[in-house]
Amino acid sequence: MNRVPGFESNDARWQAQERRLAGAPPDAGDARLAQALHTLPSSSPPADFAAGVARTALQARALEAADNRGEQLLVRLLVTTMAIGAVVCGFVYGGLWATTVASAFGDDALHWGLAVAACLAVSALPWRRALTLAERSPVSG
Amino acid sequence: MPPDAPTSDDARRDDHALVAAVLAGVPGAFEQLVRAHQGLCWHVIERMVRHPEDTRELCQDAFLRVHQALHQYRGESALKSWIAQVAYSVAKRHLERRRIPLADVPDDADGMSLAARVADGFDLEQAASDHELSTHLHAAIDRLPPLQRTLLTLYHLDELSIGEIGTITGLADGTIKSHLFRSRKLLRDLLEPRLGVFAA
Repeated sequence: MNRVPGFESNDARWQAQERRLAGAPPDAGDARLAQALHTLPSSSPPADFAAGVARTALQARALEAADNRGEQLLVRLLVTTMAIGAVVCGFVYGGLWATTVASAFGDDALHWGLAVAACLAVSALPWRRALTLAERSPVSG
Repeated sequence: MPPDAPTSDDARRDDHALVAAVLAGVPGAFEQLVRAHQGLCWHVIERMVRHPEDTRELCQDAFLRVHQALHQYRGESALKSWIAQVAYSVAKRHLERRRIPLADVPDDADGMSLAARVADGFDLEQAASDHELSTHLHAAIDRLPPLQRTLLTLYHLDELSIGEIGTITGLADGTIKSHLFRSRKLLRDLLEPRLGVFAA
C-alpha cells in the first residue's frame, strides 16, 4: 500500500505527536487521548478456544491422512487391475498380434519391438526403485 | 511507546523449540502454541472485522492455516509476528470478500470525509466524566476504517513496535506512521471543543 497522500513523510510531526502522547502529557486533550488509547476495550478468546482449535487441527490432519491412504489404495487397485488385464490380453491375443506385426514389418521389427518393450517394463518395475535406493545407500557402497 | 527492538534470542529459541515440538507431533504442543498467541491473533481479527462470531471463526481458521504451514516458518521474524501476519491476511481476505474497504484514504488533504464519519455521534455534551469521554473516544475509534483501528490497537494496546506492525501488515514504516498520525490527530481534534471544559 502506498503512503497516505498529504503526510509527506513528516517525521518531525510524528515525533512531536509521539512526545505529546507519551508519559503524562501536560495538555489535557493529549492526556485524555493517551488514556483512551491505552485503555482500548478488547475481548479475549473463550477459555476453551485453544483446546478446540488443537482438536480441530488434529481431526483435519487425521482426515487428510485417511484421504491419502484411500487414494493410494485406489491407485494400487487400478494399476493391478490394468496389469492383470494386460497380461490376460497378452495371453489371449499375443500370438495374433505377433503374427500381424511380423507380416507387416518383418521378424526383425517384431524382435526389436519386444526388446524395447522389455526395456521399458524393466525400467518401470517397482523393484528398480528399491534397487536404485539400495545402490545409493552408504551401507551398500 | 514501544521501541523498534528485535526479538530477543531467548524468545527466538523458545519459538523454534515450540515449532519443532508441533512439527514433531508432540501431544499438547499445538495447543500450547495457540494459547501463547491467541490473544494477539484475536485482537488483530477482532479489530479488523468487528463481529464476535466472525472473529472466532476466522481466528480458528488462522490457526488451522498456521498448523498447515508451520513447516514454512523460517524464524526470520518472531513467531507471534508470523502468526499475526496469517491472522491479518485471513481477516483482510474476509473484508475483501464482503467488499468492505480496508483503509479509508480521504480525497482531500484535510481528510474531512473520514473526520465527519468518525465524529458522527460523538456527543461531547453528554461526556460529563473522563470515563464517559473515554467511552466516546473508543466509539470514535471503532468508527475508523479497519486498518486504522487495527494499527491503533497493535501500537497502543498490544504495544508492538512499528517494525513488528510492518511485518504483520506488510506496510512500510512510513505508511504505518502516517496512518497512526492521522488517526490520532483526528481523535485529538474531536476533543478540541471540550478543552475549555477540561481547563475549567
